[in-house]
Amino acid sequence: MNDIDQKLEYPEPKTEKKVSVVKVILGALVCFALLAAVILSNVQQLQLTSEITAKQKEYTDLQSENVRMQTELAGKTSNKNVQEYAENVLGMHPLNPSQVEYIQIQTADVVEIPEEEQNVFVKVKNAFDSFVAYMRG
Amino acid sequence: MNETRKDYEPTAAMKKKAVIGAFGFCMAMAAAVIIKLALLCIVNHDVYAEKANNKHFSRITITANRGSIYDRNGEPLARSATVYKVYIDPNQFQSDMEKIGETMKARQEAIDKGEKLDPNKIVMPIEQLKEEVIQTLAEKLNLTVESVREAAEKDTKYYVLQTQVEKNVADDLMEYLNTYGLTSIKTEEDTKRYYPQNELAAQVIGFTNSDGDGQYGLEAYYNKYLSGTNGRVISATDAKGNEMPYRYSTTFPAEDGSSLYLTLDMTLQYYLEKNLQDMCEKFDVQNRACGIIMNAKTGAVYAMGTYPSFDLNEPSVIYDKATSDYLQSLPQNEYKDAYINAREQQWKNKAITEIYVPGSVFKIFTTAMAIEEQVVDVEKDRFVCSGAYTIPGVPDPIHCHKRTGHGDQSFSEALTNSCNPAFIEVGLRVGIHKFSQYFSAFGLTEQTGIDLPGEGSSIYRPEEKMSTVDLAASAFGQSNSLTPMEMITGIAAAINGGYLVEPHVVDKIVSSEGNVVKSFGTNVKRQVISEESSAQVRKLLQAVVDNNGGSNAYIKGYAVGGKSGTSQKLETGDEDKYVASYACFAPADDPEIVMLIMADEPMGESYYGSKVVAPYARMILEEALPYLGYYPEYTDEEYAKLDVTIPLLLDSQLTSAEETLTALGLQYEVKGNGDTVVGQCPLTGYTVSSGGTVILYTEQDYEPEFVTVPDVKDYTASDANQALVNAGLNHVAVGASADRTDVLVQSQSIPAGEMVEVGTVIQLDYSTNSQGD
Repeated sequence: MNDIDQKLEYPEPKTEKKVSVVKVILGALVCFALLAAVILSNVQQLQLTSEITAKQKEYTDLQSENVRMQTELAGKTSNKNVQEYAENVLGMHPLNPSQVEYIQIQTADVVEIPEEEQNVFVKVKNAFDSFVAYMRG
Repeated sequence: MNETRKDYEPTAAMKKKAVIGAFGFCMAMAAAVIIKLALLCIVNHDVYAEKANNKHFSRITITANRGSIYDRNGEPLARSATVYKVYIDPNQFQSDMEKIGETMKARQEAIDKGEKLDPNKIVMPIEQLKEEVIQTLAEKLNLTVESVREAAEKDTKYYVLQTQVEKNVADDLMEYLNTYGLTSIKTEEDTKRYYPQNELAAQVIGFTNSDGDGQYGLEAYYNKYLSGTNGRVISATDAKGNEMPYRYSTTFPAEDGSSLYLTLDMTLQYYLEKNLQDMCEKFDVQNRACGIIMNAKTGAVYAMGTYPSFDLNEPSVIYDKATSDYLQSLPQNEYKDAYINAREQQWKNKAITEIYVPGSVFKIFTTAMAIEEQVVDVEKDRFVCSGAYTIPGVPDPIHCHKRTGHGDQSFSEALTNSCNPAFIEVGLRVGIHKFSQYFSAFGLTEQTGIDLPGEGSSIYRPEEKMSTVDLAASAFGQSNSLTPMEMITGIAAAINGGYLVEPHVVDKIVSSEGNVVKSFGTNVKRQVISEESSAQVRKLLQAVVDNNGGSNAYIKGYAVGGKSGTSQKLETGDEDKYVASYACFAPADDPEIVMLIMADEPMGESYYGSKVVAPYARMILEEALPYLGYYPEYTDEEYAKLDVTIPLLLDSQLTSAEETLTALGLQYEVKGNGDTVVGQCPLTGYTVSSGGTVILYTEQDYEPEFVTVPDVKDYTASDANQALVNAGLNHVAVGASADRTDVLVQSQSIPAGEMVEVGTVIQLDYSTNSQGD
């Protein structure tokens, strides 16, 4: 009997490791959380892009409206409209040329320094000074 | 024997075959899938990728903004802005109305049952609501109620109600429709071109069609620069067509159109067009008038106008009232063609497209070529005019406009008198060959090259076909037909030192980023005459104005040169049709501006250039020269005769008032015994001619004396002065200078027979009585 027992040596059965349910749940939660974070960031990105597009459109519309209003203002203040308003509504008349008096204004005194004649030594010195200034940057 | 379970268990061989079979089947399936995937992803990759892209991606066109047009001072002349197209989905509209009808019905039933409803909830019969919506649409979109009702009942999903609706109108409309939850009426973006100056420089600027492409004028000529290039965005879009962020999205940005900065000056343009209009109205000009103001040295066009013009914001509307009234009177079958002709006519830029016979203005060229060729000695040569000139071998003489003849005259006098026989002789001295050479050298046989579409070409007698009679007629300007643009460019060459320049309207083209894409400077084609000859021409033309100021654009304090012209429109077969024109330049010694004005078929009291056009040329220069920074420099003689502005004398001491008036060269008459001025006539600010009289009242509750205004029309200056002084009135001259002996009163500001206060200023409009052009 003992020989048979000795001959038949069965390997010891492996004991199954019992995985913690808590850890599995936690792991799953972390995965879901990560997934949710990714989805949320994509949603935010979409939302922001949409808002940017809307604001850009609004800006373009307002720019265009500004152009339209500036043009309308330029039309209302044209030379023709201004003259018609001045004559018909305000009862004004264009100036007669003889009503304009021209005054000659004394201009400020100006000092003119005549250029000195330079001999060859002065010219060489000036050229050397210019070269030094150039090398110094 | 008993069968055991072992007998039914599969053998190892069977198991092996089963495994092989199952494996083979799986492999076959896998192979099929792999082959299919390979076909889809590798072999037909491009096909399916394209299909997928067409589904996933959209191509959104980014419309390029059209460039703007500005004058030389940066004033906008043409700009584009976004407007909206309002459209309706009639099928959806009907459906909306039904739904709203049911809602209204339910609300009414609730009210009938005694339930309390939110006061903001509208309750009305659906037909009433429908009618209200239609009325509102018609009112806001400037449509008839019938047309809106008809549109709402169409069997279609898309019908445009109105285009080019401005943002504020579109927003108001959408806000109104949203209160009823109506989604069947929507807007989509559109573009509108605005022209803030309306009819100013209309023929030069041109306009765009419904597709946004330039038609006529600068809009057409520079369409390539103005229109830009559309862009594109390729990216993923959601179900509503909104762009989604996608890492492979590609944007090809739109390249907005470049803007044009012109040489035109809106202020000068306004002066020109205002006076063209006054001239046409006063002299009943039948076939339009045009004018050009140009820099004589650079060719930059400061102003170019045609009257009648048209409103660029409504180019299809006939602007001229007389033409419009005429079209309305036509029967239906004639209206369409007549309207199209009238519309095309008003769009044409007369200054560059139409030719005319220049008349005596052409003598400027004959003068220039004669001086350059030295066939005339300006100081010594004399010309005798007997009223006609007989060309050897030609039986019929050619008459001067003065049938009695000018007699013996110098060359300068001949030019001032605009004597045809004298210029026939000068032309004959120049000769056919030289005349033709100079005619071509002055650019009169070719287009000027101005950057505007539709430029016309001259019709002239070529050298090989020119006879002596043709030369004679050409020499005084009654033979060849030229465009006003050719004329002014040639005249500029005659007075600017001899240089023929290329005229241009655009100064520079600037991209949307602000970079100068193209710049237009002075382009000198050739030198036609020497600077010395040009200086002599200037001097002679200044003498024309100084010696015959009544017929020309003489302005106190300014050196102006000029020449008037009148030509018969022989090509019409009607001898009573004329073209009146006037060319002038200033300052005469170093001209900056050269101006040409032309009135085609004046039918009023006169048709001569000196009477019709010259006064308006003067009025334009009177405003333009100070605007350009040229201030008057009076001679002593002019200074002594300057008009005087009445100062404020009220409440001042009488002695002080008397001294002030004496210092100004005015006389005075004191009424009353007081020593303080309590009333004056004329009032301060009025202008009187030198030596006028101011009435000073020194008693409170004074009663002014009234006199009858005499009729001084057609009086000479001295007679008019005497008549008004005798009546106790003051006067001031406008128009031609009252110093001239050849001027008469054309009109007076206060009609004869009216009772006015003593001392009142009567404005007298003088004009020349000579009609030589």
